[in-house]
Amino acid sequence: MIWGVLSVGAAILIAVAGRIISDDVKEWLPWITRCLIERAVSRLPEGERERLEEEWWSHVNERPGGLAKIYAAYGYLSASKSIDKIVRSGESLRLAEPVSSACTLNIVGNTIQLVRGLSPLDNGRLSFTIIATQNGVSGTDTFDVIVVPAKDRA
Amino acid sequence: MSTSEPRITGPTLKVLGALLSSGRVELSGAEISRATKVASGTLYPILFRLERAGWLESRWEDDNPKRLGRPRRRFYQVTNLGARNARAAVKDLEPAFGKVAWA
Repeated sequence: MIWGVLSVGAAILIAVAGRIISDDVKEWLPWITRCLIERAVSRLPEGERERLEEEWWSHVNERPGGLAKIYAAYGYLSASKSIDKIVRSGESLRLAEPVSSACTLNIVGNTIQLVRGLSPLDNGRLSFTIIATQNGVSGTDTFDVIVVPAKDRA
Repeated sequence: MSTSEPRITGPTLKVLGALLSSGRVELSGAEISRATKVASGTLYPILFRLERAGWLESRWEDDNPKRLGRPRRRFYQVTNLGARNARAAVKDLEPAFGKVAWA
């Protein structure tokens, strides 16, 4: 009889403790996710932080369940390290084809129009040299421009 | 500035494949992750690298986060250059896939 009462009491205690622990863990999961994302964002190059923070929060919010969110957020720690490495090394910031075949420069009056036929110039840097000749005198100037796609221009 | 192309790894091909074969013009990072099963830690450096190389372009979802009640999604799509280079990369791999496998 005593053992029966004790067993029921123990079962109730375990159920209550389990519920408390479960509620507590549920409270902690979003906090852990936030800490992981904040930590990952802080490791990014400064120019990439704002964009990737919003993008990563958006991705995490689409994951069902707290643990899946933590798993995704944990991945951002290694992602931020890799992205920082890419930016530092200048990797992938390049034109896939020689500029001469990728674009055409039109000179109209004193304005240079860059006619783009291919996308590698999007979001990229472009260096070009203009050699101008007038009355037998030549001048050379080199320009380094950042190409902004039309849709992103103000 | 390096002149080499982005590394074509298995996950990179999966990402390009998902974008090229989804039937939709653009996909968000979460959708790409779901379609390819590539983890977030691998996916975002790939998207970042491909975008910087001009193989992908991206844009924000057309709405205000306040109105949406959540952060905006970032949508990615393959550029003409990306599609051309991805197809060329797959073609380069075809002979290896096409070989007879002996048991």
